[in-house]
Amino acid sequence: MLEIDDLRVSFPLERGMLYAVRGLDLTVRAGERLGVVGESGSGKSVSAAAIARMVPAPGRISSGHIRFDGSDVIGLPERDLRRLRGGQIGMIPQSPQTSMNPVITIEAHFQEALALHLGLSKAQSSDRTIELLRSVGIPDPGSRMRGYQHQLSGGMRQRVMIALAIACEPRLLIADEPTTALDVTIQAQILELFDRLVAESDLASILITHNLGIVAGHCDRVVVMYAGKVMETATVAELFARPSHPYTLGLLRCVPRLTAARTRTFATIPGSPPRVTEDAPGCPFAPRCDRVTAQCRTETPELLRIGARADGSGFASGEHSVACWHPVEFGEVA
Amino acid sequence: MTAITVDTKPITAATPGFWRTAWRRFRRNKLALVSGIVVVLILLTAILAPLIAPQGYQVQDLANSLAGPSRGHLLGTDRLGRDLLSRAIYGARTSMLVAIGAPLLGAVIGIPIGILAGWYGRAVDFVALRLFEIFTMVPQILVALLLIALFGNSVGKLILFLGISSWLGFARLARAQYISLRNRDFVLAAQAVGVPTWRILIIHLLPSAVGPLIIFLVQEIPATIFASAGFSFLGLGVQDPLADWGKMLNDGTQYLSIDLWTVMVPTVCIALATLAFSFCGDGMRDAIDPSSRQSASR
Repeated sequence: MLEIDDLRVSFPLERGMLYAVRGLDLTVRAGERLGVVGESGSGKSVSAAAIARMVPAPGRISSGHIRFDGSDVIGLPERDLRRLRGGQIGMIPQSPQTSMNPVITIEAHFQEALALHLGLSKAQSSDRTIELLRSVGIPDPGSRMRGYQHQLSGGMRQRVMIALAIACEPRLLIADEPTTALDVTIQAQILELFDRLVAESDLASILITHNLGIVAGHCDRVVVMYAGKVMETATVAELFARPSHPYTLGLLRCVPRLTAARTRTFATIPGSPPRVTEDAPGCPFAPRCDRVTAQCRTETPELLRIGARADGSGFASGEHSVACWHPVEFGEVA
Repeated sequence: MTAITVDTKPITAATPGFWRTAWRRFRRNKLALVSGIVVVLILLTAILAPLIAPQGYQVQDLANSLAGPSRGHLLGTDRLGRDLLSRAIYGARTSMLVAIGAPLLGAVIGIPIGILAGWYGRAVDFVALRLFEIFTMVPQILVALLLIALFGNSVGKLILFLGISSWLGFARLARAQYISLRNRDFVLAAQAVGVPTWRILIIHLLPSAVGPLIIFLVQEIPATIFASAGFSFLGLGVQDPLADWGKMLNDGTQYLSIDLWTVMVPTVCIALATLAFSFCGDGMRDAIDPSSRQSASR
């Protein structure tokens, strides 16, 4: 349904360029739940914004193709683009605290979207809004919707934003770290809600997060991004059972586990992700990688499919790809 | 067993709105409140002039010209024996029409320019800023004066010319407002829902920007009262027999040594209106934007 092919997004700086996304390939099938993980600055949010051509200025999609249901998003005229946004692609923002207009009632937010995409009248949209708010668990939606965002708690606001994102029956739902701005206690509730709605309406979804734990519970397939590139992609089960990229392995080691011995120190990946200001060859993870060789610094590894395992067992779905010269072999690490 | 009752009244009623809070703050400021009342009275006088005025503004009583206050003419008469009170009341009409009409026109011209400059930035903003600079260079009153000298005058033209020369402040303010608003998350969220740009500019953002613009409008009024009185005083404003405070002042100055009332009546009117609008505007600003209170004394 969604196909991204060699997408590049760059931001002009005062001096030079910042390459936020460098050749992203990605597909989402109808009904599939894709997770995109990576550290801050890995290009995951920018990639998500690019899907609806909403890269913040002065950033620009410099090349690549984005195809949604066969139509080319990059060449789409403004009019059709607006129909796509909200109508076909619903977005859930990172911070519900600031994503609703403080001077417009909650109802008006819905009314506008419903009139734009579904052509609903005022009365029809009121009914639909109540229905939507109820479905995301807002108590007393009839009177709540006449209020303003500041009268809602953070969790409630995110529920409202989710309701707004699905209001016009989109086919793809993009959630950009939907729980980072929320209390930990609320996070699980919001993700459960997200899951339920995605399942109920058979939506495809892209969940962007830096938390592999969230991916494990709420996605079918994962893309691991680093410095604007895909490092590894696989089904969730396969990725967790058989991480191939040293970076993925590092990320997995950083996830705190209840079962781990108390005495074990918390694992970290030394260093921080680079600010890519030149599109130089070489693996972007090389400076932080413990398996680095001379080849890693000079030649860019391509994203290559890992074949089925020789003995034919396990999770060889044929969809596991990794961009690394020296991938971690199965069973190499415990 | 104790029953727990849940308060289910709509939350909108429980939390006072933005304007209600502003009104409460405004009311607490006594000077602003009194000024506000004076403003309302002046506006009522202007609107209801034909009902309030004891005589028409053009009715002459030549036998009683330049007379002091009397039972027939409470504030005396001018050189043609026209009732000063009536002329001051009708004068409120002309003066207020110009004083409010011109800034309104300025707002109508300036705000869209400012919105576009602030929203689009880059090339649009560049052009707008150069335009601002050019207009800042030329004194606005001189522009209006030139236009009047070229095209003649009437109340309508006075509003037009003063309006044209007052767009700059509105444009600047609107631009600043929209620059600060355009990068807010809720704008992005609206775009993500597919809201067209014009709706974002007007329906989503204007309500947030309108407060300071209204204050600016009110603060422009006293300046315009002064400017239009100045034109009338120079003989470039409204023409006989129409009454206008500035014009009354101009008429009166010639007889200053004979009859003080002809000067005093319009002067007091101008002073009162100017002060009332100024204090009212300050009060409104403090009420709508309490953080600006430090700079309240201008």
